[in-house]
Amino acid sequence: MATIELQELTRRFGDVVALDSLELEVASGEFVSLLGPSGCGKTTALRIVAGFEWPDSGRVLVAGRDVLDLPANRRNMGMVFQAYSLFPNMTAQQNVEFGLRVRRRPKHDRSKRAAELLDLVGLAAQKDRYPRQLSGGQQQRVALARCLAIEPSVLLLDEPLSALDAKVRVQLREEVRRIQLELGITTLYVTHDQEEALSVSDRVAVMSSGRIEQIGSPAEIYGHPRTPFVASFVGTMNHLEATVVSSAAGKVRCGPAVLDVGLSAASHSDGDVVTMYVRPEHVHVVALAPGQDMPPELFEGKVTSLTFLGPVTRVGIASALGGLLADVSSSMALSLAIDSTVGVSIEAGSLRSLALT
Amino acid sequence: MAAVGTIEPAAGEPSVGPPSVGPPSEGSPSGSALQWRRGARTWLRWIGVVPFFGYLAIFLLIPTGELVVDAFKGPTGHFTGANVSAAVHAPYLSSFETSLELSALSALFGGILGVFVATAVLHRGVPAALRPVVFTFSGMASNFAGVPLAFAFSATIGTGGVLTGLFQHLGVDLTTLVPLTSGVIGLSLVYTYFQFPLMILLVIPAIDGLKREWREASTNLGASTISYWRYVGLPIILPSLLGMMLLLFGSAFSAYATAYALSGSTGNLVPEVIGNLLNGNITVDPQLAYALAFGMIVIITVVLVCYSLLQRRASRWLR
Ligand SMILES: Nc1ncnc2c1ncn2[C@@H]1O[C@H](COP(=O)(O)OP(=O)(O)OP(=O)(O)O)[C@@H](O)[C@H]1O
Ligand SMILES: [Mg+2]
Repeated sequence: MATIELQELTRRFGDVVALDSLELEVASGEFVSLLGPSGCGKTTALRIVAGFEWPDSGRVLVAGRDVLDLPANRRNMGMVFQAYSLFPNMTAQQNVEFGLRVRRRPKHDRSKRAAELLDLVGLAAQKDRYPRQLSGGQQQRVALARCLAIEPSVLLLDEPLSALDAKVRVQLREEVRRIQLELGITTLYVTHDQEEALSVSDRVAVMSSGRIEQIGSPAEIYGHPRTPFVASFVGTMNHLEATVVSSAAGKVRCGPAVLDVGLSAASHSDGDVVTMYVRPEHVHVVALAPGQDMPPELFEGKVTSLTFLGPVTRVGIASALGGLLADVSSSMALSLAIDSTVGVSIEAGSLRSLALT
Repeated sequence: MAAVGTIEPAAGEPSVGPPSVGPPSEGSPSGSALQWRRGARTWLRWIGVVPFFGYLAIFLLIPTGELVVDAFKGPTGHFTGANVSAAVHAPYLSSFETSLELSALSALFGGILGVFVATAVLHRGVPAALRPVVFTFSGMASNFAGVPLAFAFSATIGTGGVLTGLFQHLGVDLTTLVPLTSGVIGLSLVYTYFQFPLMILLVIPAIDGLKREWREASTNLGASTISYWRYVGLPIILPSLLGMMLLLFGSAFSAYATAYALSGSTGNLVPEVIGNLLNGNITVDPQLAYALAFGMIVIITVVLVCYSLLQRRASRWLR
């Protein structure tokens, strides 16, 4: 299997800088997602790898070999498009055979291989259907089988699930991952859906304005965002303004409270104003019985909003630390009312400044 | 008939069908006033198209009906099949053959040339600014017919034409190579001049309907441009292309002025023969003219039926 390396890729469209010295390495057999907001250059990067777009400068190496001077039809890469890419005049089987047909493989080999792949994506029974007779999810499965048929060196997917229903989307992303692991194929996956990226990737590259802000495992990206952009783009994050009291001891002042936090001593000095981050699931809320005094280890807060999210309810709280969001179990949230006073605590060690390395 | 004809009705008609209006809503049990209002509203929906159907009746259906009836009338007004029988036998049968041949050839030439120009213009590498230029040219050129077109061709490659003179210096006689006034080939070349821009106008939407993803997917899978067109592009738009070439066929079949301007009263195309029979350059026989016209109507009807069948087939994959 092949590695992919993007080196200092730059692409401008007029005044728009779609890619700004983009650097990315994908190991052999690895599944890497490009995650970022609309217009950050994900598609442009992928299309440059596929050969449908060219960089103004930079290099693309696949298996160590520069592919930029190869035409797209000689790159032997599998690409799955967002939607509507199946040839409407061919059945599922004929679509899957297409790549082998233009490679002049014998009919017998072609249909055998197509049958295997349709089986792999669970559509053996639908092989004689035309694309218009298939659901959106089935069409994308066929598209996946079609590009796997040519045994591509790498697999490129550009938001392949974004045109599908939420339920099918979840099911299919797991299937894409299962097949990718089964074949061990190097995969570059473009999405703007963070849940999708975090759930299926070996590593996630968060992009913004044509650059990669941070690349790491889903747990790293979620748990240790390194830039303010990543912190606010991935998941929900509370931001608290704080002043460093003692960088050596890891203490900051936030409103009236002095908090123990994980600060990297080297990067802050006493008196610095820093932004601290904490996820809603690390903010705990305690309902107080009527007339009960505030326990000393809790901060006082007032419930400002309650948003039911299924298993958890997101609670908006106004506190002396600032506005906070907390995720509490929905059964516990039943005891909370808007404007009620609650006790708030932040899980030890979960309040962080950005991880700097 | 006017000397400067343009493409005659056949080209415009096929897109015209009765508007699809759902079944008139049945009155609900909630009272006759409501029912009446619904009925009135159904009527209102039709009012807009009334002038159009009026126009259709007065200028198409009534004359056509009259013509068909006249085609079966003898000089004294009795019923006879003699006119129609004469129309499909020598010497008139050869007019039909010539007309069909000319229409088919010019549709083929114009169709193929039009497709090539349209694909070239729509190619990714070609600046989009060129499109409106080509559209404008096509709109103009597809209406360039009759005397001006005949003159333009005569002045270029006719006897004493500019190019003819140039080629004479090289020892090539263009007038025998491309005879404008005699033979179907020369005339179909002249017709191609207005056929191919018409094809461009017709075919651009169909080619635009080919999704970029199909092209890119086929390239990604290793196909060359030729393989793409062979296995994907062409099979998808072929029914549309054939349908549009049928329209070109129809427009050539009923065109009159260009041929007349080139060959005068000696022409042997069905419309020319009809003209001669009506205005009596050789003999006057209006009944026979009606019978010939009836033959044309039958052919155009067949063309339109084939066209709508192809359109239905085309809409399977496009749109
Ligand atoms: N062919 C083009 N011509 C002009 N500008 C372009 C072209 N392709 C992309 N751009 C611009 O480059 C930037 C990056 O586009 P790109 O399609 O790569 O974004 P993206 O991250 O895929 O966004 P999305 O999530 O919306 O698909 C955008 O600002 C876009 O407008
Ligand atoms: Mg995109």
